[in-house]
Amino acid sequence: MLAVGAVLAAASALAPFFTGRGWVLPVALAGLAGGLLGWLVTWRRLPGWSLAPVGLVVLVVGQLYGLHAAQTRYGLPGAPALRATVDGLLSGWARMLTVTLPADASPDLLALPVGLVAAAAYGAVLLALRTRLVVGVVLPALVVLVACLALTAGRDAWALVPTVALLATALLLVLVRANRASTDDGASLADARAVGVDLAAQRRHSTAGRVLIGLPGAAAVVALAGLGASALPVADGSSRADPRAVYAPPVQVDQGLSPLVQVRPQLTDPPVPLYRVRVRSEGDPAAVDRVRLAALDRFDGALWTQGGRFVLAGSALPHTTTYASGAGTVRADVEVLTGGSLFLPVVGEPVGLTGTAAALDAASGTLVRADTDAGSGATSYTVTGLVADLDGVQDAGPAPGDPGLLALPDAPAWVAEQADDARAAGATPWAQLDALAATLRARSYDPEGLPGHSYGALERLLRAEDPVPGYAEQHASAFAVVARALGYPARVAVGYRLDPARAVDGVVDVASSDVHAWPEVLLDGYGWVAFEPTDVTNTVDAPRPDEPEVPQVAPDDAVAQPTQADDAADNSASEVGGVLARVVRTGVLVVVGVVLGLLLLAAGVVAAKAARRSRRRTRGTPARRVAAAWREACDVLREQGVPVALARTPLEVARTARVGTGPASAAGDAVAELATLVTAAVCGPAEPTDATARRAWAHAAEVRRRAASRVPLPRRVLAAVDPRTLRGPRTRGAPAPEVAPPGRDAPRAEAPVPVGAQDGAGRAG
Amino acid sequence: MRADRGAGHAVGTTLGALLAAVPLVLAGLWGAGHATHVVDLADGAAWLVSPERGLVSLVDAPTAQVAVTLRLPVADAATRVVQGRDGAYVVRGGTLARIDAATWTVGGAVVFGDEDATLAVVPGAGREAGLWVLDGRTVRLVDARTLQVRATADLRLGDDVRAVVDDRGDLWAADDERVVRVRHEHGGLQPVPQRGPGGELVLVQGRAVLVDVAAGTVRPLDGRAGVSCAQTRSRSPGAAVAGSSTSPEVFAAFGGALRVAGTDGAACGTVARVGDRDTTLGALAEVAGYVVATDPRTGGTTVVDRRTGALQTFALTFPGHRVELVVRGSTVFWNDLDGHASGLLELTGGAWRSTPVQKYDPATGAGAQVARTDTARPGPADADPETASFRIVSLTPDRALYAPGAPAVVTPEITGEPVPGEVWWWRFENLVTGAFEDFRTPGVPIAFDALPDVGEYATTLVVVRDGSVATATTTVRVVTWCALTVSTTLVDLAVDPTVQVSVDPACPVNQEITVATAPWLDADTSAATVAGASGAVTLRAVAEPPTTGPVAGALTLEVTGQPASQVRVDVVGAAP
Repeated sequence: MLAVGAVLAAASALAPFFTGRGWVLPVALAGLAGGLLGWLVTWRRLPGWSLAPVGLVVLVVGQLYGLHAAQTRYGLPGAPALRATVDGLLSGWARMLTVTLPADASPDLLALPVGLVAAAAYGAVLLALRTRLVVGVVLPALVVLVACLALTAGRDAWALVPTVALLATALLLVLVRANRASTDDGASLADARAVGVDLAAQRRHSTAGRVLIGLPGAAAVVALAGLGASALPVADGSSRADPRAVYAPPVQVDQGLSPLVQVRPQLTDPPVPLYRVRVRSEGDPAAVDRVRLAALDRFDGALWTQGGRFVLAGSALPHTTTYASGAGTVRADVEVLTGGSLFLPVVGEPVGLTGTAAALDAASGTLVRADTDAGSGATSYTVTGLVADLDGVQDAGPAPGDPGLLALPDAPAWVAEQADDARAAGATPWAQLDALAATLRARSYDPEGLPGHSYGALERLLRAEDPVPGYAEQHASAFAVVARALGYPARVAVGYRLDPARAVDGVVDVASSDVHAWPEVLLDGYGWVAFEPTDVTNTVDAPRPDEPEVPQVAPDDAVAQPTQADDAADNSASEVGGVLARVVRTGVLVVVGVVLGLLLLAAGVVAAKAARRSRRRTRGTPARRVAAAWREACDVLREQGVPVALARTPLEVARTARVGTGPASAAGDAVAELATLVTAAVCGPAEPTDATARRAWAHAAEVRRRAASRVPLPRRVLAAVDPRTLRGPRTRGAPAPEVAPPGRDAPRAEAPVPVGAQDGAGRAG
Repeated sequence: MRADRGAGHAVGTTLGALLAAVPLVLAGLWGAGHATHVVDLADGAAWLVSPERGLVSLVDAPTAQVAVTLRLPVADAATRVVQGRDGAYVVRGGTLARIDAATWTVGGAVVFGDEDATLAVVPGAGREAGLWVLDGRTVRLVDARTLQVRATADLRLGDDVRAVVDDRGDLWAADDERVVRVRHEHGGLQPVPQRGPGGELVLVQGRAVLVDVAAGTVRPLDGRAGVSCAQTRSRSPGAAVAGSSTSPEVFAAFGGALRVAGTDGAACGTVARVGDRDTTLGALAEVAGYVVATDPRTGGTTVVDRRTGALQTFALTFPGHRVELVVRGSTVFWNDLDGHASGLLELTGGAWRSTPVQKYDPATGAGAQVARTDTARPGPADADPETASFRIVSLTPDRALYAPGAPAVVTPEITGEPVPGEVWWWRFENLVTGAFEDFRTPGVPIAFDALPDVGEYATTLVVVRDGSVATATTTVRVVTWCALTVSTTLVDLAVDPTVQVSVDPACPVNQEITVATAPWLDADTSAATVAGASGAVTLRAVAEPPTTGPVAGALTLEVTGQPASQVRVDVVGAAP
């Protein structure tokens, strides 16, 4: 138990890897199952060479039915289930290293933890029960801990509790194993009992005493380790080696046009329905006036592109920003009507996603489709995002971070001049950026303006002489370029406006003509803050103001802004219906799993009995087979509830059966015949013939048939799956070898055979 | 003895326990994780050259529009433009100049060979891979932005050198006799001659393949066995070849037919007939399972579905004009090297669609969206336009189009009151040649006695008042003929046999329209069209059309005596 406990304690370090607690039950069951298997193979005394095959077979079967039961057909493993099982075992490591954390506890991600914990528990129990190793027993748990720490390195989580728990369990285990009283003291239990000494009890007491004495020391070590780790910054998890740094995942290159260059054709072409969006937020849903499709954070002077790498994401999306004034949670139910875009619209900074497979670039908070039929189009999902509260943003400074967010390769001179103008408008970043946005808003807007957002295109928009009106592509790009020149991390976002006036029952139909682009600046404590440098009402034909507009209007606070939320908070905010459904689903799965497990166990018992019966009937001399037929009959009677006392001879058992009721009386005649045969075989001077053995087994079969005829079907089924007879009748004495008739081929037992320790046919339990 | 058994038991158990877990750990080494997505975003634009005009235009595919046009220092029919990752390169004679896609400027020409040398320029694989520049004698790897030579090596090939760069970044160069692989290793170039004769080089799924049309052989250069295919054998010169990026196939076009040879020997044969037997086909390109073949003799371009052999033919250019094809993603840019036309071929809803884009005005020669020259504006240099207390509301010419020598008046509208001593500077810049002339006048509208030459002129007014400056620009055009506009470029006789033809109402000259039809077609014209008028052409089939689909260029209209004005209309025939 301690060995399994140590493994499970180590496995608890996996908690930061997964979302929620869905992984706990499978992993815990795997540990228990592994330990149980170790105990079973020890009890059955399987040879050493068979341990690995048995473990692997059970591991595969366990994965098949434990993780991929849904893919079986009527409980039988089909090709999909087998493929999923093999894939899970082969690709467990790779898959766990190629998802964002925390991940969902899906079968493909549980395959490795379940397999590893089961194997570790199996190995630990084997080492504990079959060897005298003391410290080595802890090795499997340590392997699990190291694996879990490596897999969770990406989250910088402190694994103090699992480590201390493992240390405590391991010390206890070592304490017990190091202080076991020796059984090699030259005295046997039988000898000791003969002189009135309960040697087993003495040994137990001796072990308990030594362990009790060692406990304070172990507790002190554990306390010291826990306090030391807490007080000293030697291993807080922040600089843990991450296998992701050396693992090269397969790369899928998705080519396409930048969403920014597609703004103009969407503005001018006939509108096409793209999305249906329902926004749910703690505040006014109408305050969320846009969804973001892509955040373009790399600029080479000619093109804004997406520089990140997208990793498969689960329902909880990673985030790191801490918000100075907090952030509100916004949920958007998005129905994608066409599959034209690789990107998935999000609201604010995405922290949760359900309903579709997606890959996430955590740095930019951008999602791309990862479903296998992404080209087919329609899908729907719910994305949860955080919108920053902009209180106090006027005093915020630029956030430190990726230098690529400031890159302006070979910027022409006019960029610095524009930056100087913006810098002169105020002392704080906010004032400068606000002024810049206002200046750009004052420039004419032309949805049919010339395309492009390179330095050349922006110069055409910004030049003092004969400027060419542009649209959101140029306005947003110009803002981001100048903001970078000011020293502020900036990017260009592309998305769609949500027009609340078009909302029907809270659902807004988004068309291609709602496309928009805007810049965002990374401000310390506020994440990516959106600005609006495009005034779509300031068209070329609109009357031009005589005086330049004074840049004093702050960007719309309602613009969705990113922030990070805690997973737990996000989970707790889930709808009640969703929780109930999840509970029901989980419950059903657990029940189905338990039932399947019981069925498997029952099938195993039946198979074991059949194997035992076959072995008894075919192995050994005729005398041994006759005796085995009697043992078989006795087992049958016990299964049917007929008491068969160990101290009685076969003939006594037969007499008792005849006067009994129910199955005992029904099988009484057959039992009597068999008892006569076995008595003659065991006690007679002559070796019985094969025909005698066959007759004995015929009687045994008759006993089974007749006894069953008096028992109702449910009880017969229970008798068939009753595992107790596999263990044999309980005795208080030490095990003794089988006894063959004198002078036969079976060797005589070397140890004395206690009277009463047999079932009347010379077999001990 | 018992202790030995116990120790052996422990060892067996330990091994068994380890063996149970080790396969689980090792198994992970064979598995594959979830793919990491890398989004490679492009701008969907290409730089298309007009060599004889000395213009290069950035054509934007999403908007089907010229984003900007740059003037080249020299107009030369031999000028070529090679597309790069973040710009393009102008190749003329033995010189190379970089077009900066960021700033829309053409850098200085760098000499890499003699004036009559033919340079092969191939961008390397990857953003930082550099640019390969080679002639028959020398190969150089140059910096893609500065054009500074990083490494050089002797090549020893003929003047007519062809080159490709495979996915591994190796350069393959060949002439008719030899093939050389060049690797960039340890800061230097390592040319390695390959066995066997030379030929044409193409990329097939990122790997270099040598095509010898005369011998009918296709030889992958990565060591795999070559393939011989009788259908792709041709003794006549002028065959065009292209490799597939999506399948192991090479396409060859000659004798009016498009043929295919599989590099793995799987496919060999004729895909489709795309011209007459005596036709020498032009540029060839493959994109997403379709092959685009041009026919310079007719000016038609045919798109062939590789799987079904179905054809779509477009009348894109004037007969006899050279056409280049540029594949960017799933879009094919076509460029009339000898004319003003260019455009896009895009697959939309299962059918290819052609969208024309005019690189320059054929009537004036002025490029679309010509980038401003970097010359200083007229007027005093110390005046600050940002602080002007007045502004020029508009600058309006009395006409949009002028005939050569016609008088023109440009009237400005300026806010505020005139002050004594204010100065008006005028600049007239010929957008075709880049030449400009400045005038300084008192505060009155300016009248030109005559606009001298055909072309487009940017007219800029700078007003200096009390030390502050206001500026405005407008354009005027001088033409000898006016472009024709048709109501449709595809007529289905079964639906509507009428084509409306119109001319800009501002056209200052009288002109006649010449209508020509295919022999199976008859056109009923409404008479010669005069300036400002429009007319209709009604078509009628008088014989069986050659195909059931659109017949490219079955109807042509042009201003009489002005071939550059020709407009081609495709016609879907109906039984007479």
